[in-house]
Formats: sequence, C-alpha cells, structure tokens
Amino acid sequence: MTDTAAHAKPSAGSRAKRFLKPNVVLLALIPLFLLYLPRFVENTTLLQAISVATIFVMFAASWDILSGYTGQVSFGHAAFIGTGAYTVALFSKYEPGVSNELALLAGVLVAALLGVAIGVPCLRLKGPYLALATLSVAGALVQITFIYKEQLGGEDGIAGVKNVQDGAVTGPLGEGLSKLVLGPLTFGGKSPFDQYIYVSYFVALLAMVLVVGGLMLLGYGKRGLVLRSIQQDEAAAEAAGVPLTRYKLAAFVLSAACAGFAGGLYAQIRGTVALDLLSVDLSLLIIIIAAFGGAGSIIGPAIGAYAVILLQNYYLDRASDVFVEHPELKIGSFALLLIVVLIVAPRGLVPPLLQRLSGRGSPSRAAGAALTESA
Amino acid sequence: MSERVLDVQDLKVSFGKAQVLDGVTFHVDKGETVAVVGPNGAGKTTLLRALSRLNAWSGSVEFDGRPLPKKAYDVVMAGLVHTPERRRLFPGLSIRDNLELGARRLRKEPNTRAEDLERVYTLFPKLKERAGQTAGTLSGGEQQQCAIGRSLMGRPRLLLLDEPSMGLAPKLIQQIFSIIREINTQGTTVLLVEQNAQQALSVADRAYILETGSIVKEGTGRELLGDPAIKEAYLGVA
Amino acid sequence: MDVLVQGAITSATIALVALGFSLVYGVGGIVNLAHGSFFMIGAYAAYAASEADMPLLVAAVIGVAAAMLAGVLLDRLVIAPIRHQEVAVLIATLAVAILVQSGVQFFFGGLERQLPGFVEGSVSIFGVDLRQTELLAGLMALVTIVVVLLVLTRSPAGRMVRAVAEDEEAAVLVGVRPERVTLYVLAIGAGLAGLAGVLVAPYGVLTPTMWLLPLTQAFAIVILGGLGSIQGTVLASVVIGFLDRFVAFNVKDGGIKIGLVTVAVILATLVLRPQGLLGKVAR
Ligand SMILES: Nc1ncnc2c1ncn2[C@@H]1O[C@H](COP(=O)(O)OP(=O)(O)OP(=O)(O)O)[C@@H](O)[C@H]1O
Ligand SMILES: [Mg+2]
Repeated sequence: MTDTAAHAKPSAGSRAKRFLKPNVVLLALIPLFLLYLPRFVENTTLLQAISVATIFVMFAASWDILSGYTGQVSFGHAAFIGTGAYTVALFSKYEPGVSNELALLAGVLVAALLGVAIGVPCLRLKGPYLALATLSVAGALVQITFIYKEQLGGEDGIAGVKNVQDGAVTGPLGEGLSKLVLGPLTFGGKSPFDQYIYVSYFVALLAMVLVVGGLMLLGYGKRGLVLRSIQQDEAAAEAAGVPLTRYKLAAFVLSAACAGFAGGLYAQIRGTVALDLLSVDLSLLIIIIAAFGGAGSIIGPAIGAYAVILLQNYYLDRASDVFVEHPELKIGSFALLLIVVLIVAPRGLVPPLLQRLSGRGSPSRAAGAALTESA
Repeated sequence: MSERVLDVQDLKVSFGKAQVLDGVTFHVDKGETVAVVGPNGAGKTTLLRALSRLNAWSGSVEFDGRPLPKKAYDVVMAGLVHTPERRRLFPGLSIRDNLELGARRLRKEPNTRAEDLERVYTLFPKLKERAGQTAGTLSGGEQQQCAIGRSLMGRPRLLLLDEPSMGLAPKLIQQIFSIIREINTQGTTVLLVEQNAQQALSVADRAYILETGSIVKEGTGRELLGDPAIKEAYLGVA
Repeated sequence: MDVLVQGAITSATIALVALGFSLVYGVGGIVNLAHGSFFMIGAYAAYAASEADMPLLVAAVIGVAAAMLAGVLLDRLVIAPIRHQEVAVLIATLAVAILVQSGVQFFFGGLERQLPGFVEGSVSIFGVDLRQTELLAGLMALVTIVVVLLVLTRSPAGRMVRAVAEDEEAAVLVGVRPERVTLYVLAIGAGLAGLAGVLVAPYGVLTPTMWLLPLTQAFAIVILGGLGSIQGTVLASVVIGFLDRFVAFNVKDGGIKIGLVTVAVILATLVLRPQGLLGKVAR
C-alpha cells in the first residue's frame, strides 16, 4: 500500500487526464458521426433502430456506473427503466396538461426514489443477495402492473404516450437539429411520420451525449476511481476513509435516475409502454451489452449497445424470417452467446482493446492512487 | 537404509511477488517423526499446504518413491493425510461423522472401519463418550484430538500435523505430544510442524529449523535441543 | 381451513424447489438463477410427453429426468468452468434461465398450458374440497422431502454433502471431491424442482415465464431460513407456503399479488433480520 501511494500520488490526477485526452478526439467523433449520419442514410427503419440503440446506450451506461464500477451488480435494471417509462406514460394518460419535460423529470425522480428504496436494504448485500433482490424487485413491478391493471394496463401496457415532438423543449430542439443536418427544405419535404423519426433520432442522440458524457466525466475522474475501489476491496476502501455507504447509495441513485430518464425518453419516443420495459429479458439484455462491451468503462457498454441493439432490432430481422416470426429467439441467441463469452473470456471483449488504445494502467493502481489522495 | 517416504527438493512457493518458501529441501523416512520448527510466518503452514496440493509450488516432491500426485484428492488417496492448522473439523457434524469422514480414503476396504474407530477411541476416550455430540461443541483440546483422530481413520502413510499445540494449555500440550509419540510408535510416520520447539524437538527423531522460507539448520531432535543458538532463539533460555 | 390445507400442500411443493436451491448454495457456494427453470422444464417435459400420448406416470418420470439432465448439463457446461467467479456464475445462470425461457416460448408458444390430473375426482379433508391430484402432489412432495432429509442426515452421502457445505477445503483433505458433490447435488436439486413442476402442472398453469416466481420464493425461503441451513429452509418453506395461500385466498386479486408479498418478505428480512429466522449468522 505504501509502495503504491509513494509513486502514484503525484500522478493520480494526471493519470485520469491522460486517459481522457487521447480519447476526447475519438469520443467526439462518435456523436459527430451519428449527428451527420441521417444526411447519408435514407433508410428510416435503420435510423429508427439506431435511435433505439442510442436509448440503450444510456441504459447500459447507467447500469455500468453502478454495476461495472462499484461491483454491486444489478440484475433488475429494468425496474428503473420501467419506472421512468411508466411514470411518463401515467402523466400522459391522467395529466395530459403536464409538459413532456416535467413528466420526464417526474420519471427521473420516481426512479431515483426506487433507487433509494432498493439501495438502502441492499447496501450490506453482496453478489448473490443483491442479484436476487434486484431481480425479484423488477419481477414484483411486473405484477404491480397487473394489480393496477386499469391504470397500468397489465400485459397491454399504456398506449398514446405524448411523444417527443410535442415536447416544449425536445420538439423544437429535435426539429432544429433535423433542419440543421438535413437542411430545412429536405426536412420539410418529409412525411410527418418520417419527420418524427428524425426528431426522435436527434433528441435521443442529444440526451445520450449528455448522459454518457456526464457519466464518463464522473467515471474517469477521481470519484470514478473511488467507486472502483469499492469493487476491489470494500474493507480497504473503508479503511482508506471512503464513506462507503454514501458512495454506494449515490451510485445506486445516480444509476436509477439515469435509467429512469432514458426509460422515460424511450416511452416518449415509442409512444407506448409495455411489460418489455420491466422484464427480466431487458435486465439481462443490458448485462449482455455490458458483458460484450466490457463493464466498468462506460464507453464499452455504450459501444456494445449499438452493436447488440442494431443486431436485435434491424439486422437479425433481415437475416432470417425465423427471427421475425420468433422474436424470442433473438434474446435466446444473445443469452447463448453470453454464456459462451463468459466461459471463454470472462472479462468481456472490449476492455483489453480499450486499454491498449488509451494506455491506461491497471484500475487497481489508479484506484489506490485516488484513495491515498482523498485520504 | 530405511525407506524414504517423502523426499522434497528445492520447494518454492510464492504468492504474487512474495516468495514464501525459498527452495526448501528435506526428507522423511518410514517410521520417523520429523519436526519442522520455526517462528510465526516462517512458512510452515505454506509448506504443508504445498505438500497437500492446496497451493501451487515448484521444485520436486516424491512421495513413496513416486512423484507427488497432481490433485489434492489424489494426494489424500495416496496416503498423505493432513491435519490442518486450526483443526478444521466439520463443526455441525457429530464427532462420529467427523471420524467416519476421515475413513473415506479406505472406503474400498470396508472391514477396517470398526477396528480403526476402536483404535481412535482407545487413544482418545473422551471422543467415545461424546461420539454423538456435534464437533463444534468440543473444547479446544478435544477438537485437536478429534482432528488427529479423523486423520488416523485414513491410516495415513504419512501424517502431516500443523501446530497441534495451538491454543492449548501446557498440560494439554504435554498430553497431545505424548499421544503423537504413541501414534508414531504404533507405526505411523509423522511430519510435524510447530512453533513450540521444546515439545516438537523432544518428540522428533529429526528436525529442521525453518526461518523466513529457508531451512537454516537440521539435526536430530536431541542435537537441536542442545544447540545453544536454538536454545536462545526458541526456548527462551540464554 | 382452506388456507391450512392448501397452505400445507403449497409449502410442501415449494420446499421441494427451495431445498435444491439451498443445497446447491450451501455446497458449491453457487446461486443458481436457473433453478426456477428446472421447475419449468419438469412441467413442460411432462406436458410434452403427455401430449405425445404417453401414460401420465411415464410423462412424470420424463419430466423429472429432463430436469435432472438439465442440471447435469448446467453444471458440466456452464458452472464448472467458472465455478469460483461468483458474479460470472450469476450472470451465466440468468442467461441460461432466459435461454430456457426463449426455448420454451419457441417450442410451446406463449399460451397457458396444463397437464391432466394424475388422479381424477376430488376429496374432502377437514371440510375442504380438494382435487385429488392436489392432494397427491402434497403427499408426494412431503414424502420426497422426508426422504431427502433422511438421506442428508443419516447416510454417508449426506454426510459428505454436509461436510462440503461446512468446510470445502477440509472436505478435500479427507478425500472428498467437492466438484463431484456439487454435480450430484445440482442434479438432485434439479430433479426435486422438476418433480415440483410435474406435481403442480395439473393445477397450476404453464407459461414460459413460470420460472421466476418459484425462484423468487426459493430465494425468500433461503433468506428467511438463513444461509445453508436445512432446517431453516424447511421451516421457511412452511412460512412462505402458507403466506402464498393466505394471500391467494384472503386478498383481493391475491393470485397475482403472491410475488409482490414474497418480495416484501425478502426486503423486510434483509433489513430487519439479515441472518434469517433461525438466527444463524451468515458466514
Ligand atoms: N494465500 C496467501 N496469500 C498471500 N500470502 C500468504 C498466503 N498464505 C500465506 N501467506 C504468507 O506467507 C507467509 C508464511 O505463512 P505461513 O502461514 O506459512 O506461516 P507459518 O509459519 O505457518 O506461521 P504461523 O506459525 O503463524 O502459523 C506469511 O507471511 C503469510 O502472510
Ligand atoms: Mg501456520
């Protein structure tokens, strides 16, 4: 420990910076690429699929700040996503006067509250307990939609959620970006349905850049290193003066809030909410994404989301009719692939690549450094 | 020359960067009691765990003239039976069950069981009295008896004992060591690891002194007991 | 009275599921999120066999065998290679659960299915009218549990299982192979869950997501009963079983609230009494 402290102390800050620096260019390229993509891609079905993937990027990144960083692996992330989405849908259904943005904020709050409600009893739980607790809470929420079937719609869900184009902020923003990228004339010439696809595409993109950017700043900063240190050795982290409870709970709530936000936005883009937003399938899908992308790096799961969701919602449907007739085979195949990956490469596929790109040292070193600095 | 049961050459163990055993060489002959004596953290437990294949090592170990089996289970089956540090009984199981589990090595020879049980009960009459009681409820000394008894049930070709004196009152230590002597005279070869140099050296035919991962001295138990340097370092006699 | 009689039956069938889950955890330190899937596999395999015009008894045997086979495959192919990586095991077994779910959905579709009763007609016990097949389920489950408990506490095999659960390394040192014991326990635990699925199939409903509730209940039972405690598991099964029926009969729309109440029990236990009912401090 003293050894680590001795030579890591001066470099803790610079290490984080060094990691960010070479990637800022690379990282900025991704949203820029996505921003201008609609100019070259006419295929609106593909664009729609990309929008959904963009939403999933937020799901995965928000999962990662909790699970990949602190090691409190959530097996019920859908609970937060669904809570955000259903809250937004309920506002549309019962208080259509409330603005989209306010409803979204409410969704974030409710999800964050759920984060507290689950986070507190789970604070002292490890691995299997936490897994089962989070898994079963999400399962219980599914049942609640049946109990309040009239309000929440049971297996039918809620249709007619006010969409992003009606939002006081998201509407103009989305249209503005659409006109900027496509040119006002081109955009104006599209059918209303296509226009809607463009608007939601850009709103999702913007939201994703904000959420993922924020999470990355946090994750690669000193706080991120502290979060990581919790995963590596709770006792050591506590001994080094990390207020464990606070950090763990904060990670829970932040993760829940971001997931609730993304879920709410997803509801506004889809126009409906249904049980798929609370299902174990969704929770697992997020874990699959993170596992393929490499947990604990934010950017890894983000990239994983594009790969997995585009496969799921676009390419597989075109690869074989079997997947159109039997959509359950998609998640089934992903699950199978995940099992294989876990057995062959338990650390995920992307992180080794990322580390080479960034020249980042081992996380344990860096975490130790952050600890000694904050202690 | 007598038959060599265990022949250890240049045994090295490291955990990450820490080299805990730094090329240890020694041997045990049939019928002997051999002691390895050393202070806290010298690597005694690590040595026995290595022999039982509970941690990785390099070097060469021959057991009964053959290379040591690769898996912990096969080591036990070959007859190298380990009574671990802190006894490690199954606390929720009865004493009888603990002892019977020790006989798993001989499960293909069902006729030895009753005889061995009787032998253990003769050595440790307390265990017979309490046979139905769970092992967790035994006193420290009784637990040590039960642990040794459990190992004897496997009729070891070589019995490894890790600090049998740990946590016992002086009188009980006396008693345990005299039983170790008795076990040895009944024909069991013993490799004993101890901090209690006085007792260990007095029961041992031969002994090795282990300090920070290396053997620094060897000799018969009697020689080492008489060695002034040892007296000063281990026996608290100036 | 309804609650008492049916609660007893439910307790027995739930205990069948929970016992395997708890034993596998105790022995291998493995939390198998695919444990509920064995329940489902047992039910669906029996259903498929009976649809193929096999006698019900044969169908039942096929159901249990299918679940056991699934248990063996799960251990050999998935769990054994990553046995000591806790989180990887959790993720992999959840993936298996979803894989099985999508397989069932593919082969049987999402519609609810049901197995014919093993015996026809109904009986009256303490004034409660029961279908005979339910009574049979309860009795079979009870007998099986008693047998399992006897094997665990009285037989050399059971002694080995308990030894591995108490101290894996010490068990190795007396010549026990924990991987083998884990395999056997997983296979038997899977068979028990499969049997529960078979027994319940004539009066429950089969759907591709039916694995989740028994898994949640098994978890609640293990938490309530205390980690790896066999008596605790049995006792907690009774609590959860009666609670299940109590909610089903006495609460409006009780049938769909069972899971919710179970989760409430889980969270409450975690907060109030993390060491479980019997107060054994978790290792
Ligand atoms: N699994 C392990 N990982 C890292 N270091 C270890 C491990 N096991 C033992 N050590 C280290 O190896 C050294 C020797 O330990 P060992 O337990 O063999 O000592 P010992 O001679 O048995 O001591 P004692 O008399 O106190 O039992 C110690 O410094 C210990 O910290
Ligand atoms: Mg020691």
